[in-house]
Amino acid sequence: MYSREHDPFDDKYIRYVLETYSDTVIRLCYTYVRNTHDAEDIAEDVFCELIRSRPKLESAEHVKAWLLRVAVNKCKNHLKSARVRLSVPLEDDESGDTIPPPGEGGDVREALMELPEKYRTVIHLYYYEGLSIQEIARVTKTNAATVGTRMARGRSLLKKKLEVR
Amino acid sequence: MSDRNDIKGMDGYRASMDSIRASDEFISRTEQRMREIRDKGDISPASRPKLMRFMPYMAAAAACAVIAVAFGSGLGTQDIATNSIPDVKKEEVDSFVAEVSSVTVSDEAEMDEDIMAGGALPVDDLPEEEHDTHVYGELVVSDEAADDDVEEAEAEVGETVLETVSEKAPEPSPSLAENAVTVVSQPKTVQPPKETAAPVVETVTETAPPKEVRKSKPTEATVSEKPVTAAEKPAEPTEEPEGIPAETPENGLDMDAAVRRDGAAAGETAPAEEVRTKAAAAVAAPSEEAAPENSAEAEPIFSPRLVWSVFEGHDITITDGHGRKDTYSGDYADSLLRTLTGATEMTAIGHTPPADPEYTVKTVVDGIECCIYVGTDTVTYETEDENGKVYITYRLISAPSWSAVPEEGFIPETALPVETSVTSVTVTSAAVTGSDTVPTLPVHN
Repeated sequence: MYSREHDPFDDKYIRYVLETYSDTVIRLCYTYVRNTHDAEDIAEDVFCELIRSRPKLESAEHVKAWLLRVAVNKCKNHLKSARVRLSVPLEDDESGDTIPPPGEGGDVREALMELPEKYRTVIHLYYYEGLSIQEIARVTKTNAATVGTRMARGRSLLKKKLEVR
Repeated sequence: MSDRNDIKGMDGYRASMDSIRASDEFISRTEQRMREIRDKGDISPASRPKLMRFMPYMAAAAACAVIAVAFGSGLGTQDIATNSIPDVKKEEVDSFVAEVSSVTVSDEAEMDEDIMAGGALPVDDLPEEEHDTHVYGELVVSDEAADDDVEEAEAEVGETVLETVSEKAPEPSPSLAENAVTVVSQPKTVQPPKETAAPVVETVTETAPPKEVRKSKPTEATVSEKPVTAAEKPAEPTEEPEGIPAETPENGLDMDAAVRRDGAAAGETAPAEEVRTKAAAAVAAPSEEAAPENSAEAEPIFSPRLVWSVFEGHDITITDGHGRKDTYSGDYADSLLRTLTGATEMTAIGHTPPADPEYTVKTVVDGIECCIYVGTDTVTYETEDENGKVYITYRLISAPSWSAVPEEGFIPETALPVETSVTSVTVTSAAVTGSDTVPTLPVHN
């Protein structure tokens, strides 16, 4: 892992952060906006925020948690923005250059993406990123019990959606 | 990437999400932008400090004000241009800046523009006492403004809607408070008898100020009601359902002794009617009245004077003596059982079905049927996941006397299935004074 002891935020560190966390941040953003283009735009802002804020982050876990939290905030801002609210949604991003068509995995992803945002986010963070309930609560700034409730409901809804497919 | 696999098809989801990757173009573009920000500072409009972005508007507003005043006072354009504007403009702008810098966005504020312009700062950068707020540039945005919380309050009857009201909110949104009370007090199809549950409902709706009501950890109610002795020091709450300790510590319970003090032998049976009457009395009586005065010493280790909701198809809603209420879903057995029993300390001791439950409560949570088996010093939570039935048994280490009375949905024995009518019930008590009798319900399957 790259050490920041001598020259924080130098070129190497920027490269390291981008290569290490870009995928994670983009995927989390994708679960919110369901669109790879918007997800990339938001992710770019997240990384720029890192340089602007220059937070003192002691470990890789802190860096990841910081990025995920800022990503959540920015995604929520994005969804609340007038541009998004007033726009007529197109089909979910299936032009998505890199996303495979619905198949074995695509079905589950599609079913998950049909869930309300609050459910799909916690499920993604739990099952894909492997965060604990407490960690999800911190990232999403939600009560841990609420995260658990959303997890249960999300699982139940997902199960029903998969059954009818 | 996680290897959690209790949802069928998650591997496929992971494979699908794996394919979402940052493109080389994204990496290089972002890298370049990050370097520019680091070296030159961020000069994009969206990244300017919020007040800087407002400066042109503030200046324009100040100028308009000055012009209006000037015209009102009969000054000519020349006067304004040469004399009046510079001084007054500066004064006006300073005043306006001061005003803007102290803005706190209230719960109902339409924050889109402000937040979009501000750019979020992480909570880690804030002092500890401000962790419940988001900071957007110069604006402090109250935490409960999150839309999904409000949606939850409005959308789901019986939900823990009051959690959206934070202690730190100076004045909770009246509309939110109204929503919360409306939602939680919405009647369900089956009403409990007035002499039991009704007073609790009134207490909650009339006296519980939303400002003080928030989703509490299950242990908070018991801790705040009475001090916990060193021997009963609460354990750290289990963070995750799957976090089950492997070892079982000694709990030091002397249930036999407790039973002897109550004058009834363990296993002794009593007429069902008698137990029902006592159970109803336990529900109707406030917990403070029933608790022994010298509770610090005489408090039984486990005094399960509790009655809970048996209401299939609904979450279990618990209302404590402070009017707080909580709703629990199937995944939170630990929290649920702590609340039901009032246990401040409990330990998971196994995954096998309970050997000899005193009684069973069956309910459906989130569409998943689950049972709670209650023993003298254990409770077992049963539910069903992808792999079939799952049992988790908890040993109750300490359970201060605390009555968990459901606000609504409590159905007395009349609501139980006819074929499981009570024939006999076991009287057990851990009470020291003899006034506390365990309300028992029949086992039904």
